[in-house]
Amino acid sequence: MSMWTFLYQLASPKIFYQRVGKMLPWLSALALSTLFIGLIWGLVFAPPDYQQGEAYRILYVHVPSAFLSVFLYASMGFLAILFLVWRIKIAGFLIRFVAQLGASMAFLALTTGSIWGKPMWGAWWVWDARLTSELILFLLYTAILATHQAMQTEEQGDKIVAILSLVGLIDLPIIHYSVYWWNTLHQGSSLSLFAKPKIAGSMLIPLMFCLFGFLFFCCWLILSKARTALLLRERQQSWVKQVQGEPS
Amino acid sequence: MKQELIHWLSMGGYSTYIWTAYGLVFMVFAANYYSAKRQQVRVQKTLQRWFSSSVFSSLKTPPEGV
Repeated sequence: MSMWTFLYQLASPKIFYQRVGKMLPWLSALALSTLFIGLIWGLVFAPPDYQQGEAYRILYVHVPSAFLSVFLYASMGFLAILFLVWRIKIAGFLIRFVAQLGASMAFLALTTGSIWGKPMWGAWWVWDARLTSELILFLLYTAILATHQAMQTEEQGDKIVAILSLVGLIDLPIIHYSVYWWNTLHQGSSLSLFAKPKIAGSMLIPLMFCLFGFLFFCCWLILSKARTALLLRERQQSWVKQVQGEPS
Repeated sequence: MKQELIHWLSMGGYSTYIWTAYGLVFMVFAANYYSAKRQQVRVQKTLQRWFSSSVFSSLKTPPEGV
């Protein structure tokens, strides 16, 4: 079965429920093991930084949460296109669950960054371009979640949040390029998809573990929440009655 | 051994910042996990009510609030 066939079949709520149910134990195991390895490696075995000493170890939670906050928003944009253009309902349904985890990640990026900023910059917060655009991202997430909650029906909510997600995509390039466009206090990116990493291998490997740990954790909870909520939405369908009572 | 542990926990004088940041991450992760588990219990209860009640199963619109 090709990748596209697999993804296409996931558009069916029943198949989504079954396939995701099989994936969840693997995702949880992957999330917990990569997080465990990454955090222990980062906190115990990685060498201290030559400039920041031990304080740099906040990087192992700050960078993954900041990356995930942007990555999850980009995923919401992708889901919004699938929903609005190709009318794939399950994509629209997933957006709010991605937003829940995205808001958590943006919150963590802001707070861990602030805690790191105090000993390094001497301030908890500065109205720097990178920090401000990340704060806007957090507010976008909360606005999307509040809007969905305020809608009369879930279907109506899905449509509005899909449109809002697309509009908010404009913030992503601003966050990414803020450190290059403006003279900011925030340092440049340590990692890039296209360039050689600017961080030593002994620090990079645990960071990659943490990054994947955060990613798997988010995927696990997004899919788990969506799978549970799907039962409720599809309750009129006969398959829901069948799976009721089966161990989840 | 104990000295090494104390040295590690002190994180070169940055322990307050580092452990606060990691504690926060742990709390946010735990809250997300707990909310997913709570949602499962809530949905199970609602569905049981829905299927056992003839009033609910004859309705076309599902009850709100979950």
